[in-house]
Amino acid sequence: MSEAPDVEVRPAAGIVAEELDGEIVMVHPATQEFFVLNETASATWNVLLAEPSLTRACETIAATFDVPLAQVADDVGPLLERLIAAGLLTVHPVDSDGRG
Amino acid sequence: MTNPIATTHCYRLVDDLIEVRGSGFPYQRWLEASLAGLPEQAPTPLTTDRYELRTRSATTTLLYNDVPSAAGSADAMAEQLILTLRQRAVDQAGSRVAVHAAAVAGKEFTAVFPADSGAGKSTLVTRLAQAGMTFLGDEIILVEPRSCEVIPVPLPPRVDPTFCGLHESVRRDIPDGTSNSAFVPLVWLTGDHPAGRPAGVSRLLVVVPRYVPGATTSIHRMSRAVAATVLARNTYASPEHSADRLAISALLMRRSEAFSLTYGDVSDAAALLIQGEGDPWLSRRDAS
Repeated sequence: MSEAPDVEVRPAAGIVAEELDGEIVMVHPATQEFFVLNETASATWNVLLAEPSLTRACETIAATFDVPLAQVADDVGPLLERLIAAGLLTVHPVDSDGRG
Repeated sequence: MTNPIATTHCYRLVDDLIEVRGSGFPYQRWLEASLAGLPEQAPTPLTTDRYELRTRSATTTLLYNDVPSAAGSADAMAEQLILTLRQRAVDQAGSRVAVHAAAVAGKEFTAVFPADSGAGKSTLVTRLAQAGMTFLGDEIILVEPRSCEVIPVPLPPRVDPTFCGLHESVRRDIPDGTSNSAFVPLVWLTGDHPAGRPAGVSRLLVVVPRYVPGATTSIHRMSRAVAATVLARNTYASPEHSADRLAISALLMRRSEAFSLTYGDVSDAAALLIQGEGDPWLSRRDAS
């Protein structure tokens, strides 16, 4: 992941989310679909809310859960793909100064 | 539906007063039971609307404030009447949230069953009412979002009569999972299990039912987040208010316990629910 250009991932506009027992339930405003993230996915979502930079988010997760960065990248990647495919997350390039 | 008695009955629906004539359902008893369970309210002017089923020859006419609004078979017009009354409950919900769900109240808990049509809601709560629980509704209930109080919309349930042994003489070939809208003639409860709201019941269970023919009955705690999505999907609101539906559903679930009920036999399911507190499935309280 360190070789790929960094990106920022942000919740899509209008996403409304509620947290229950560590799980996040959300609704997509356009499709009216409801989604539930399990505890692991919810934790990742919360990190991304606090740190949109994908690189830094993965570093935070690796440090928080004491797992290798490569493993975090392998685990987070498929989740992000699903969230992006569902329209819940959007991807933005990061400027050269590190700002999205 | 062949009850020829056309005495005047009154039925309070939400904040309105509706007069129903000729339906054959003991509305007066339901009215009295419903009002008995409601908290004291300041007197408010009530709108009086009058519905009437008037049968002449083979045709039944549904009248609204003495004006014919539809005509057809007795079954079709009774169905039309029920749908109209249910729609009124939704329209008049006000600050309350109308949820597509059945509900009953027992001594230990109030159980709400949100589910799509055909999941067996009506049959299950009718069976529970027959066993002594209080019937709160089979298709629509109102929830006060601040207190999470379940407010009954006590319209008569529509069920497969053979399923509940109510009318053994009525035999119809109804496939499993059929929407209750297909169940005609309508079967009224006898009035022995009136609607109302028992006091002191603080434990609210949201039970998502799933009827699977041949399945062994089982009940398990489920994710409250998942249950919130089921509630949100079954909340009556315009699509653009999905965020509100989710927020209200989450609020309700924070004060509730969530269960998934799989059943292949409605009697087994009812027996499991009736067993009550002390059973393993109900022994742990995790509502915050």
